[in-house]
Amino acid sequence: MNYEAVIGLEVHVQLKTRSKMFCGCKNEYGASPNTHACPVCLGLPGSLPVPNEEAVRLTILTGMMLGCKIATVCKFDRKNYYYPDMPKNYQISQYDMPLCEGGAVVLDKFAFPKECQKDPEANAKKPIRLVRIHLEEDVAKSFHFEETSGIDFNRAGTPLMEIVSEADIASPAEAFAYLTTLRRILLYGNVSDADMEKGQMRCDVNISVRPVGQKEFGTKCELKNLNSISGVRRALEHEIQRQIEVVSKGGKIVQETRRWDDVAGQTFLMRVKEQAHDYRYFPDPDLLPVRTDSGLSDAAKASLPELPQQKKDRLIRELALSEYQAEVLSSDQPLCAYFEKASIATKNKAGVANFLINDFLATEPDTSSIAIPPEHFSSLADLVGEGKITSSQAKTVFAELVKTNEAPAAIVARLGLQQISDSSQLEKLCDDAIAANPRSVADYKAGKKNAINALKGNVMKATKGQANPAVVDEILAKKLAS
Amino acid sequence: MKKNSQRFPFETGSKKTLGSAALSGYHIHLVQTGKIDVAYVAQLCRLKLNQEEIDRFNTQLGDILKLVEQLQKIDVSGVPDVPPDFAISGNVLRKDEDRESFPVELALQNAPSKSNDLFIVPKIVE
Amino acid sequence: MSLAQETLSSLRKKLSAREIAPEEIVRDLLQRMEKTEPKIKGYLRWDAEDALRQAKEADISKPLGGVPIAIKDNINTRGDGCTCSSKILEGYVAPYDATVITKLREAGAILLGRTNLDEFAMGSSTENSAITTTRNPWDTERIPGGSSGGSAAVVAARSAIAALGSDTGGSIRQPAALCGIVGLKPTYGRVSRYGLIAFASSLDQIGPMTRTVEDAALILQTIAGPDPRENTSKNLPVPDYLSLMRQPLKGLRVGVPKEYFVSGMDREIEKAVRIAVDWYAKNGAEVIEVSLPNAEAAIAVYYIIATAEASANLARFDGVRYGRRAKDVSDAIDLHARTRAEGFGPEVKRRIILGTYVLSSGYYDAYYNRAQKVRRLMRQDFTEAFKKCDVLLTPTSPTPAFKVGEKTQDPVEMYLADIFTTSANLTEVCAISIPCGFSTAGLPIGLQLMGPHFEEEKLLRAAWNYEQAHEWHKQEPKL
Repeated sequence: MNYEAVIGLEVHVQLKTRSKMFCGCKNEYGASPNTHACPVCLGLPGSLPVPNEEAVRLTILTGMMLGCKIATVCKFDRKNYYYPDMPKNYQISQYDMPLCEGGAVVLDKFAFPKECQKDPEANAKKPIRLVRIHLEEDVAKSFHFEETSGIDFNRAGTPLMEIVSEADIASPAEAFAYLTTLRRILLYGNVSDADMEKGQMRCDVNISVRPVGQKEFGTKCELKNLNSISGVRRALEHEIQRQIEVVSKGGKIVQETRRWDDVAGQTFLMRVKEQAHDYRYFPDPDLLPVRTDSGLSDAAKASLPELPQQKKDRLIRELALSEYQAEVLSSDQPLCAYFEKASIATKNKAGVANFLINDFLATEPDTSSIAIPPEHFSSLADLVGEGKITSSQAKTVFAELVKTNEAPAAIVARLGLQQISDSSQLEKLCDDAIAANPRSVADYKAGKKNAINALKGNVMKATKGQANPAVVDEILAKKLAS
Repeated sequence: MKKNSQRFPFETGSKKTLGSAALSGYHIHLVQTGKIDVAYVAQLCRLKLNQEEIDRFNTQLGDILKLVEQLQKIDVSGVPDVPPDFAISGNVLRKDEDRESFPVELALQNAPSKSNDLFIVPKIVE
Repeated sequence: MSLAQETLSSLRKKLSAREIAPEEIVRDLLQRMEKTEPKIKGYLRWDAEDALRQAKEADISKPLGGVPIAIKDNINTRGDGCTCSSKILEGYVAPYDATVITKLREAGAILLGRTNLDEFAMGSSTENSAITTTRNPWDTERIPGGSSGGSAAVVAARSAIAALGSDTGGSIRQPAALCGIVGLKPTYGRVSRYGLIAFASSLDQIGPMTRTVEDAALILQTIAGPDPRENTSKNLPVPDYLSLMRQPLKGLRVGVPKEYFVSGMDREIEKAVRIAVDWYAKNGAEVIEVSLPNAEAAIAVYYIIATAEASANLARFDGVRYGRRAKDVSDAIDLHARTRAEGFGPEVKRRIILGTYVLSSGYYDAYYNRAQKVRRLMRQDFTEAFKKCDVLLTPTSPTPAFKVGEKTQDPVEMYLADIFTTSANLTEVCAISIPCGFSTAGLPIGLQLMGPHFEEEKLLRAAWNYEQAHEWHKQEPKL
């Protein structure tokens, strides 16, 4: 019997705001414990929340980028449960009137793991539908010691966006692609840095299996403690196996929460926190409802970036880049912005793309702050396109460019790298080569066309590689034909 | 005009003061309605009660529930879940600017147990 | 007459005229407190040295400069305790000022003394205080009302010039009525709740408790206003209450809701209030009968909504970040459950359980959701009534002060004390209680006026005119 997986992901994203969701404390990772705390985020008696406008705007923006319906009015609700990392023992969240509903994340080929990119699954452009996106506050952070735990409230109150997908994801690779694509979009909108290692993007998974063709869902398990996108993939691969083994032996899956241990490569049953999750949601009486149509939606729309897929399509369509080139550039927003500046003055846009992708990226630069003036790439591309230097010469120039930021023309002049295209000069050198290689000439005339390469090599050597190879080919061919 | 029913505490009883007379009459008219499972609810709200408290509260809360049962008889069919004037006024939101937080000593000032600038609790087992 | 017996406004006049200094007022009060507190126990604590220091530094050019005000012990005042009369907040030192405290300080007031309350403001007699039982100055066998019983008692006993209280279902007005003083609950959103330890977030308000209407207006003028720290505070300007208060009664329409006058209610209270109604009719006001059809539902709606909100608001008291913590706790659940069991009194526990229940899965629609809908019906009733009148007039309390221990056996009996006051909290309107007579046993009787949202000036005008034509406010308990 063949089984298929049914997977839904719940992703929590910390928003990139200056202050916390309901108070003015700084929203900053890595500060000394309890240095960004106040009565509100400590849950002191008498404190009251006031919502962060920017957090609402960023959530609307995310909803717009993902094609969601933005609610005209939304509100906050209290989600009641007890845990030591909860300052109030209720979390301010959104229950029945969230900011966004619907929408989808379309899986792009290049978002799949490299080894899967040729699979049909990766090329299906499958949309993973979203249920909703809502806004809430993060909990405090705990550190665990021998007999005690220590709690740091710096993180408490950080604005958190919860993105819930439908159970449309069918494989660990799709889950990987979903998270990669989602992350890229979040970076594009400057909504979050979404770094999973810093806890800025966190993922819980619901996974069940069922025989292929069955309509009903199997019993699902929730997986927690997934700390990286590839960790999610590994955990899913393991858990799917585990569930299939149980079910195929006639056993039943128990609905439970399991903790992924990346080191052990296994999921373990977690201790049950609340028997039944009766969160007793009710509208938070301390908070007024929020309208999105009185300026917030407009503000979000105004900052809508060109989305990764749109950008890719445009690069291919308008700048004649290849799919691969468009993918690499669009996956790195600052690099792409640099590319657009760097290619503006030249017709040879593909050439600029190649330099950036092949040569520049090999130097492992910080793409968010490139020191090289972008116009130099245009000049370099022009020099090659117009035949003034050879492509191998270009590599030499490029190496110098990275070192000195000098204009390419100046480098070429300095190093004397002018490509020789002048036919009169080359005619003479070709004659020399023919004279020096009678055997190759004879071979060529006898039908071995490749013999021309030896003659060509001769000319290149004589010109220290600066001869224009196309012109040399032409001249030699003409001379040998006669 | 809404008929003042027997439910309203003032209506019953003939003694001078409002309190107990009205109540005894009221109690007579009561019908056993909902009952709270105090032990279960106490778990939800993290209150460790002893058996005596559970029993006492079971009775008292039963009485209180009877008090509130009268709401079931009011016609709310015309009242929508979300009122039409919900969010009628403009938003009251906070600009995203960071303000000074407490110095760490003040944040921890009332902590029953603290160490290395952290609030200490018994070990949390996931 | 000692300074402790004077009103806030008369003291302000003397201070401004430099006839007296703030220290004199403080010393007088301290003397009075020493004398009366053994019998009254309205204060939980006070700091004489600190009060004298404040008095020396007081700026009498400010609106409340040099006047001492007592604060109910559920309002955060930096550096001081804020027990809510509960064991669970033993040792808690407030690290910040409530907005009203900031405003009082900016107005030059002296903060002297923290007053007793029912634990977490839950109660109508102050007997639920885990610390002490306050006595009614008019008859020390009797309760002062609640939950702001401490504030009411000390103002009535003249051991405070004025006090702040809080009102969720009548907790300012009912004790004011039972102690023969003035108590005002502002419109919801008029005075900031930031720093008030929350009981029911959609009902709570802080308000003045004073000997005269003018004193209440003076304090309201200072503490009212929008607060960026409270999302539900209303951004509306604060009118000049004092000048609006002094307008004559002529043309004021007084509505008397028939549902608040029913057979079986306390005869003496009914009589005193009816006499007051007649007085209004004879002195320039237009008196009409109105109807608030859903009035009966008030208590039921209140005890569902208030306890639901309270169950969430009190969840934060768990021994992790502040307050008392149970000893030798084994894990998080034990930490929470035992800390709370040991720290909360029975009434608080009852309300938390009830509140949790009405929000719980399967019951939310039948209780909480339904109660909110009935609440909206009540709001409609008031909106309709205020089309026909400017203020509503009712008794404040169904009974005068009852004896200590009389109603503690049956929670429901105690809840019925709020029967006339809860509707103002549920509909968010402003309301005031003023003295309007005494029972034959010599116990104060209070009259309640309710006014439209953010029109406290109508209340003050109606109340002040009545007060000035009577002598109730000049009577003092014999202590």
